[in-house]
Amino acid sequence: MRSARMKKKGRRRGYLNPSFAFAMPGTLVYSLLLMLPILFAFASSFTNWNGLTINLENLRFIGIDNYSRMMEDTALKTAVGVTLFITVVVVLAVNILGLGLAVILKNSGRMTNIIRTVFFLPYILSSIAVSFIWMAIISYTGIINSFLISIGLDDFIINFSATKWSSIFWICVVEIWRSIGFYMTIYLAALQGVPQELYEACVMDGSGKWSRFIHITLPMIVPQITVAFLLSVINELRIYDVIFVLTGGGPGTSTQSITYNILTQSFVNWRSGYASAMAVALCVVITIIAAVSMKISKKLEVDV
Amino acid sequence: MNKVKRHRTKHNFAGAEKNSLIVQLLLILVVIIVSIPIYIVIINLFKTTDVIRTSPLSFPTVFSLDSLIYVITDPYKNIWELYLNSALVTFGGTILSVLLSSMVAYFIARSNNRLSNFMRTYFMLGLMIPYILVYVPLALLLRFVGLMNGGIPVLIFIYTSNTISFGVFIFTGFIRSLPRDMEESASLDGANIYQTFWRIIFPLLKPATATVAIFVGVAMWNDFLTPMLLGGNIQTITTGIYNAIGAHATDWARVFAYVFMASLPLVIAFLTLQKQFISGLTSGSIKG
Repeated sequence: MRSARMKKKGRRRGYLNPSFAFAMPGTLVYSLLLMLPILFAFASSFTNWNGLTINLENLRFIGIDNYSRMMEDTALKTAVGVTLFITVVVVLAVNILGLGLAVILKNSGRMTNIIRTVFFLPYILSSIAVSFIWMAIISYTGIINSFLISIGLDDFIINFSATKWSSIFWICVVEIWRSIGFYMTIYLAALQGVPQELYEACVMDGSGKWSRFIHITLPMIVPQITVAFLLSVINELRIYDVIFVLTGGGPGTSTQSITYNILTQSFVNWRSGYASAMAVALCVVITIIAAVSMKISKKLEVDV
Repeated sequence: MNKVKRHRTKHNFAGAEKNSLIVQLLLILVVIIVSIPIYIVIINLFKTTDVIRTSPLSFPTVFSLDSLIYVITDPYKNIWELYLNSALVTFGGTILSVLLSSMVAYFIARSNNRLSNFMRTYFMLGLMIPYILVYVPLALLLRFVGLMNGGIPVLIFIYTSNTISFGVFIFTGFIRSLPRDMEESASLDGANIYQTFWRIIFPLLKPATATVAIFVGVAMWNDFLTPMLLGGNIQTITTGIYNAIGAHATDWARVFAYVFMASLPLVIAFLTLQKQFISGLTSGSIKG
């Protein structure tokens, strides 16, 4: 008995445990430059802070006024509508097309890797560079119109920024082009991880391609579908750069996204308390979406 | 007999079936459509804007380097300075983030006490909060301590602060999967905890380090909002080309040249290290 305890103790002394000194520098940078501002933002979402200075004479605690004001904010309503529309379109497109492409690409033999690289390349580029490439293509004096004029189809020239919906359409196109390769790659890796034996058993049963896809492939890749879905939802809910370059939120303010609206409120209108309240609300929404989809995914997952 | 057998094995190997010709042609068509914007950038790089207007999709007949030379020598927007700023910020931020987050992760993974459990949750918070919350208060903080024009070091620390959660998360998982044997024998040999970490643990983290470095490095190089809002008078390659091109550009030859130059370093890195980039970016975001 005694020797056993000694042995255990000896084993525990066999290695040293790192002290907090290891975590110290990282914790300092993280707390000072990230957590402190976040705490501050959260606190200021209950005030009328202007974001410029802290002037205690004008600074007032206004409770949840900022939050209740969101309900009547028409600019925010537009922004929420635009953001949700873009999110739904892009999320459906990149996930459905991405999965479809991955299924085809998986059986492409030697070409698989080359094609994957081509699809992935836009994802490496900065969203600013991507936006400028597309601006050059779809602008009134851009590539598409120059081409149409050069072949005599002057009647079909496009003016993408003329209306709200054509702007949103092209924003979606750019977002899909930029990120589809990324989601396709996630799905491709997921498909390559499905054990072959499952398909073999299924072929013996004589089931067709489509039923194999529905009954084997889909259930097996539920975790990756959840991740890809979540990532795409979160990314599109925060969309900013592409809109900033392509339309500048226009025409008027009709294509401003939620993030665009928040940044305008904080850095143009200097209503930081209100902007922080919107950002906190966005954060809450994202957390709820994440929690719900994790739960659904857990239910759909199969154990192998 | 032999023939039948072979036929059956081929049939059984369902996952390795080949696409039909039509599906394969369809795929190639999609690849062509997706590559068109890249094709447009590259062919038009060697034309003048007037030529682009008249023949936007054809190969250049006369190779003109005017737009590239303009971008490289533009006296108002020194592209080499933008490169230098972006490189310093990206490398500095990546190195600092990797070092600090691996150290935090070592503490979290190997000290099993209340403090380390709290730290794990504390760093996890940073993964869930949208960074947009931070800009305004951080701008105030920087102004308050007189660092709004703090330049590159300030950007490096800001990037470290917002990528450290990700690093901690990846490194903690990785360190937990390492057996403790080596740490044991190191301490038996009289190594102190710092020597154990830097000489034994840190070199073993290479795969995780690659994931973290690529994931956070690409994000730093491509980031636009942080240098725009908090960079003071420092311009990186993204804010630099944004300012150089402007929101109402029509000189497409220059736009293509700027986009090309801004993307070139990362594209070269991507094409030489494809596997690491693709696995770093996808597995990084799956785990994150």
